[in-house]
Amino acid sequence: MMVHILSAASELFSPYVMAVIFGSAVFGLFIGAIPGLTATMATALLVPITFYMDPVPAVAAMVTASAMAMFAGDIPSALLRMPGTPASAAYTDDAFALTKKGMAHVSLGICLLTSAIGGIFGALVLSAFAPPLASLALKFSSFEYFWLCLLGLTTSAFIMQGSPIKGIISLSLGLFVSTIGIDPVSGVPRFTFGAPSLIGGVSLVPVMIGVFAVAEILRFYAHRNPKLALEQVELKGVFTGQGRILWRERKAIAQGNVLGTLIGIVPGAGADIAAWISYSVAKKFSRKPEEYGRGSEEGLAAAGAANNAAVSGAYIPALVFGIPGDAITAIVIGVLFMKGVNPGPTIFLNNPSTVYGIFMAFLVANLLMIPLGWVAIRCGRVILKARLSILMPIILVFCMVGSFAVDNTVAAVGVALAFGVIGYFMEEAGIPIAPFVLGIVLGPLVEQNFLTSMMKSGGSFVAFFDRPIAAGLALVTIMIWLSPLLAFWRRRKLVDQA
Amino acid sequence: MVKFHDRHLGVVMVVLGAAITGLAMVLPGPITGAHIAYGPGFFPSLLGVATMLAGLALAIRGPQADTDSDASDAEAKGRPRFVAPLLVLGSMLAYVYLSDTVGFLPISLVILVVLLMVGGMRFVSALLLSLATSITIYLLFSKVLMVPLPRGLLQPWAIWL
Repeated sequence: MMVHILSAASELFSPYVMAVIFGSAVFGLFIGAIPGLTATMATALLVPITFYMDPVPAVAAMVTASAMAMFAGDIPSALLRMPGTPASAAYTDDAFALTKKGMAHVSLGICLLTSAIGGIFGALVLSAFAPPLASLALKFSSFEYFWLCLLGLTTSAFIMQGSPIKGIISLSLGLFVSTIGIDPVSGVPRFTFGAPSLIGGVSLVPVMIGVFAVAEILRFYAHRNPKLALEQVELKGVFTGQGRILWRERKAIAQGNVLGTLIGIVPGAGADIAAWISYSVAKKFSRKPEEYGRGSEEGLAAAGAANNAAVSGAYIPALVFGIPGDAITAIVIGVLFMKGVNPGPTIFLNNPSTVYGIFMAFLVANLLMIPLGWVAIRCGRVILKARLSILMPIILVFCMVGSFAVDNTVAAVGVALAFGVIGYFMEEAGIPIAPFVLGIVLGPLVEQNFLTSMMKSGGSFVAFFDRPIAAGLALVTIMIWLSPLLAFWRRRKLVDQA
Repeated sequence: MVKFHDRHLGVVMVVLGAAITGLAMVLPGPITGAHIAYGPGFFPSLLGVATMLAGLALAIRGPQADTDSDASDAEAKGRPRFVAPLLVLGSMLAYVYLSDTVGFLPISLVILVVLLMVGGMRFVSALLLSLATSITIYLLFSKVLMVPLPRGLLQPWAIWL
């Protein structure tokens, strides 16, 4: 084993691979910091470049770019209230609220350091526990997947501040959007209205660009509200006082590390869901839940660690079983296959130095994140000082090119436009966007796992509670459903007593 | 912005939910011979009903003080502008329908100049900034990221692009 670790190290620390990692880091920070361009897209755009590389530098490039983009997504979250990547959406309101209080440096410092901590934690878990942990995930059947998806959706609808009714509306509409296109079970096209570009379903990146970036641009031009302008604060002392904050929020960070890694391990659930679930769990157990959405450092720390931990954790099922944990690892698996390295149990026997190279690339990337992320935050001051009336047209062009780049069709720009309008009106009506987006992402998984489970059980609902893990997930989900009713009932009782 | 009244929103959602349910109902039923009682319309009709019920609850309940905490924000915003957001929508539509024939560089240049001038910039500065931005984005995506941005009208000079 030692031989493989040493040979992996000598390959990874060669000047060429280090240069690749550095270049990917800068690229990832740039893509991640631009709203509408996601960590997934950064990885996808690297594919043609990594085509000419050996497996270790190729995967190292994608690992670095995705981790950096995941952190950099927090920069426009804090400065513009636009999540740079969907995984930053869970705590965008908190990061921006801190900026409004003149604490942008604090919120970005938390994001940077917890991102690095989460990424390193996930990488350590990946290196140490990959085989046993993945064997646990392997035991998951469609019943567990169904409840896990439902749990994610439920939390997203219920954690939003304001009314759960609007959360349910948002979730239902998002799930509905996910059913557009060919139904994979029956092969029947649903809600395509004869449009050929809708047959394959609504693709995710233009939807994200639409609801998160185009809607924000429309809002800017509709209101020209001085409150929407950038808060002019000094961005100095990113690391000042961070030691104290990190120590104070150590429980939240630990929770984010563990939950983020675990959710990353679960196939189908990635950084976005990890951030949401970790944020909502932190809120549920917080002593100051009222701060959430208004600048909670605790929520920021938990979710900031969780999304980067999930990026690392997602590689466990990807490498050990060849099952992608999220979209990013799906791309990585494809690239490894192109290079003749087959992810799966045999990769540890056939290409051990590749595996150890990947493990070490994670550690290097997440350590490199601290100095490079600091530079990115300092450059973020340029964004902070720029006027939105100048920035918005440029962002609009970026949104259009970014949508177009997904599959090189202008139809994607049309999708971004449509969802920009939808996102704008939802926001005006006070409907939260996040459950909508999560519904679109998880819709196919919920539906297919439900149908698969029903086929297995022969139409019996009892089977959904038969297996211990499924029953546990079901219990948590149903308790969250009942929580507003319980709160309502308790309030009634108090009113009656008064 | 005239804040959407929650009751009106509820009614809209009931109608939307009913429409989704109706469209889902006309989808074909379960495949005969499949071991399953649910067709492609099952899940969407469930969502339609959920939307209807939530809309109904919203319409009956009406606005709540605690959920409309940013109502004062809405007051402060005043009436929304219409021309500027329509220009954004128009820009995107123009991109969808014209970018292939006109090409990325010209259309991005026009969109940027118009929107920058809406933002209060003078024509010459807007033109210079738009030129610089368009060319940078073009080089980044077309040359570095290999995205085939359309050349359009500039096709005769393709060798220089």
